Amino acid sequence: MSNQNNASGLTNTEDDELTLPRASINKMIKELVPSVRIANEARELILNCCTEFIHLLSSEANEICNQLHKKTINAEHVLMALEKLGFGDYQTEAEAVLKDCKAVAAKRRRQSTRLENLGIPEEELLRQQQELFAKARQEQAFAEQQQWEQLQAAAQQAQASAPPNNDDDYE
Amino acid sequence: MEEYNEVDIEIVESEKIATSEATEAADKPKLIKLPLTRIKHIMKMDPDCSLISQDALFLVTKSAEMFLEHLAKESVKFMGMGKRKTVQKRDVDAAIDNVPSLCFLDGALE
Repeated sequence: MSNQNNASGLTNTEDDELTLPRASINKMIKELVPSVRIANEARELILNCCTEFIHLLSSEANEICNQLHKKTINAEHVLMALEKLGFGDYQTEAEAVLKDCKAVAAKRRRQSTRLENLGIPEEELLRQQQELFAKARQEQAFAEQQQWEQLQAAAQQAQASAPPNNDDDYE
Repeated sequence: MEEYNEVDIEIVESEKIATSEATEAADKPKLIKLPLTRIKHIMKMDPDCSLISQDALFLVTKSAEMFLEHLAKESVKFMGMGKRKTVQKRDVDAAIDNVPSLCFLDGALE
């Protein structure tokens, strides 16, 4: 029994039960053939077929990888496997998507460094932040001081205008 | 007050980057719809399976999506031939039996 907890959200799933997520499949089918209804049995079968396809493709790619004495299955092996299995017509679109994915990833990397390249080094930003904090503290202290002084003044005034002590009693 | 202006520019720039990324993502349909990690795990079920490069994983995932499309559309064809509006299991079976590239599925499933 293998309990799997990982980024794709699998919990307590046996390896044998590993299939593509039903929700994703259903969504894709809906987008592909929107006006068509699909029986649950048919959905289940389609799901299993796709999983089986993945096994077939990766198995073939793995074999090609071994034949070429490589340790890692790479894109080329998968493309050759597609051809061998009779899915050669998938090659063009698959390669195009791969190219787009890499372009998007590269762009994202460039954009994350754009922020760092604005010309203000981190130490300078930190220094500016500390300055702002110090200034804020100063202003806060000043405001409190002001308030205290006002209170004092008000209290003194209150005393001054209160009825005077009757000293006559002590004479 | 000049140092404050520089910091303000920094904030505006970062917001711009975030917004443009979000807009881009919203404008374009997703390149890959199936979850890469799940597919990697399915591939790894085979104990003999070697390491898989990220590029290879992308290609397998995209191929699976294309396969799904292929299978679904073929099944719909058979549904049409039966003059029905709902795809039944037998339509998928018919696709498996009749489409050459799908024949590997025959007997592969329990």
